[in-house]
Amino acid sequence: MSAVTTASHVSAERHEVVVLAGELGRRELAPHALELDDRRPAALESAWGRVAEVGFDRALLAVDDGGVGLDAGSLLLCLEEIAAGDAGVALLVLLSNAALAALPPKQATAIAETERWALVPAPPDRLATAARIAASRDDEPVLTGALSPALGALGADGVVVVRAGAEPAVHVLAAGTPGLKIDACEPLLGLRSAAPARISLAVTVPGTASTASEARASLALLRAGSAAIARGIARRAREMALEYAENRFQGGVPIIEHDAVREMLAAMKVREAATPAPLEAVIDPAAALATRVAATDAALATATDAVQVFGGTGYMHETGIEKLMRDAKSLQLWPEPAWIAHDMIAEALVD
Amino acid sequence: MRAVAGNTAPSLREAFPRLRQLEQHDRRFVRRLERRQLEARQFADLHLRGIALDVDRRTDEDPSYFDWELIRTGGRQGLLDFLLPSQVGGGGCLSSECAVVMEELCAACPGLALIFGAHGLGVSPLLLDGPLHWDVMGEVAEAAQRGEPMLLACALTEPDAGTDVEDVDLLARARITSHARRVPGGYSLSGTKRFISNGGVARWLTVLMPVDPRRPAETWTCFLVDAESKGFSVARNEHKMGQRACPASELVFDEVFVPDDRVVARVGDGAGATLIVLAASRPPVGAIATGIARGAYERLLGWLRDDPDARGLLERQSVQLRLARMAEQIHLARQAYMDAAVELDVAALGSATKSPLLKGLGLVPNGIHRRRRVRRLMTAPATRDALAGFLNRATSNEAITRSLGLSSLAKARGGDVAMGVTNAALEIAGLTDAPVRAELQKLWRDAKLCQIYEGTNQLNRIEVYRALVARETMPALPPRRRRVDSAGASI
Repeated sequence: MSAVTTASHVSAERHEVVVLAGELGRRELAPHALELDDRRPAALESAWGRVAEVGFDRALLAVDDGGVGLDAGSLLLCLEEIAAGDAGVALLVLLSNAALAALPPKQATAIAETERWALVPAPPDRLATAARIAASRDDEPVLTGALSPALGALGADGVVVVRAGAEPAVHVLAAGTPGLKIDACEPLLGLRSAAPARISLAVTVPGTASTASEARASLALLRAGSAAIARGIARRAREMALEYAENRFQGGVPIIEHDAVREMLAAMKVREAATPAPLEAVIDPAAALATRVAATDAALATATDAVQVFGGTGYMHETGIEKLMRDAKSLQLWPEPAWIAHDMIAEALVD
Repeated sequence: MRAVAGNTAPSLREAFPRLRQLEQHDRRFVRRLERRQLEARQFADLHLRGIALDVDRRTDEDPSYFDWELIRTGGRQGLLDFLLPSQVGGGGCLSSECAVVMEELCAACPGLALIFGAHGLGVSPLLLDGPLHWDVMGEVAEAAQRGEPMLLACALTEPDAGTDVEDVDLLARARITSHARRVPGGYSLSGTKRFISNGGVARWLTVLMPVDPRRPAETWTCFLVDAESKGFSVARNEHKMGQRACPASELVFDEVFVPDDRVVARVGDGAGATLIVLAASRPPVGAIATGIARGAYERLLGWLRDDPDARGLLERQSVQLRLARMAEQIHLARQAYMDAAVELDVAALGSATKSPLLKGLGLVPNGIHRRRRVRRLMTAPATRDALAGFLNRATSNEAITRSLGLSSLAKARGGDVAMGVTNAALEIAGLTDAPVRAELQKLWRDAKLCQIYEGTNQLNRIEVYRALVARETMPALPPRRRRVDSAGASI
């Protein structure tokens, strides 16, 4: 992994960049969240344009390499802010950074600034799915099989496939590579601005681009990033639910005065406190897994309760609150569902 | 959605073991339930499963899309008249048969099933008003058999009052903006109703509004409105998260005239009637939720057993434990809705439905009810008071309250089970590329509504507390006598 640093002496800069991410989420993305959810091309283009303009798409690359030189912890804080605007766009930012960070610096900087790449984690062996890949011939691996749904891969200029398992490996595949097909696939419930693709592979690759530990680190970043995005979804859901509860009257009083609603709002805050920003998880794969499970479970519970606070109104697309519930559910299943994550965590505990 | 080859869902006796005992006391009741279940299951397998995903997609793109062809088919097979009184050619069913039907339909497609369920909800208030509206119900039954369905809907919720209109105490303090104003020969209805299932496709609507907006609880009244009336319009169909096949509409009433003989029961009887309707409709909502959970469980199990990509997963203890928990939750949700439905049908309303008076009225040719003189007699205050007296003799507020408590319990438990089971099913399947993911995603979206409609789960649990814990008695039955002031409001 080339560019991930764990610098802790950048708090002022960190604060500045997190504020910038907050502005991006609140002002540029949140007002267009429904258009992004509907996958309106103009909204998607505009959102990614703003992300790239500020440099969040390659935030982890060193400044000299055309990036922002952000440390991983700061990126996670930024992802949370961006996700409060739109979780799908935050996921695209994570996938782009994780893809570049998985590569050696020379290879990462060779990717043009106008391009959007996505990291695609191959599913763990224990996960039943049609989407699996196999590598043959150790000297010159041939990747065959399919990966689906590969989030954020649709429309990407290239993908960085990370295989986990006993021998992790990283493969760089530019769009247009012979034997590589990236097609649209059945959409997910949420995260719709990070449209999934079905990647079909019959590709000869020059071997792994990074070491096994770097591959594992990129997967840890992905999971910690997923936890950060979940925090952003949960925070947005809580804010929207609170605002609604203060203004909606039932029984002659604002509904926030009903215990049933107060309890739901309080529980949202409790969950938020119980799933702090996953700053340390990024360097510990098992911690990243556990943090991701806790944060995505919390986000789903909070978003589900937020819809409940809204009642019938929350079930309608136009309010944007049910979108958060769909985003949270999709995030909970990616890159692996909780029961698989539990299995992996237990394995790490035994090891 | 794919048809399930050789539906292996439990039979009625497997689903409700206690029916074996019940059969010894009322064999006919159990046989009727079994027949309903079988017919509904066959209809669901044949007509709903295969189109569920497609209709969901179409309504996502266009919320006004409506599958009339399916409703025509369902109408011919009795799904639009089974709740209508047998006196007008209907099935004469109550809550338990409706619930069994809804579980079967919802295991295939909750959105399409809701069209039939919302129709039943529209019918429910009319059942409390003796033979006065049998003419309309007779038309509905005939139209269904002819293949020209006439749907009903119940319009209760308003933009500023959702939970409020489901509870008598909250209704008293609610921000009700609708108003039924007394005019010569009837009432003039104005206001907006929101999230009305079937609202945009119904021919007849049972509409609840106050005659005196300053006293909504005391003057809450049900009206039977012809959707072809002047001043009625559908403002829009909502873009819902799930259960999309059944449109939820915003309805505008702009001085819609309703004649006196289309007031359902008496002015001011609406709040109590709402409690009885909820006691009857919440078990089927628990059944809708149970059906959604079962649909997810069955699809997941089918995928685990049949899809080569899922091979080996069923041998995992983690998966087995989750499946066992799903089966456990579904079973308990089912017992809860059936307990509530049987309690209402047998304990609370049993005497009323078996009344020789009602059976005798059924012998009167239907055309008689349409005669002006007869309608004047039926709408006379003394006749309406007599009907209220009949209800008071046939059941009690205690019995209705207990039913409402069990119904609310079944509804809240079912809603949570639907959400929990669909969540768990998606967790096991993960982001599989197999078609089952789209089916489970749909059911997960459908499930959430079960925690919201027919009163939020929070409100339902407050009613469980009041009815079953605090043992309050709610004023569901109409007073034996009502006097009406010059403005037409009850006093």
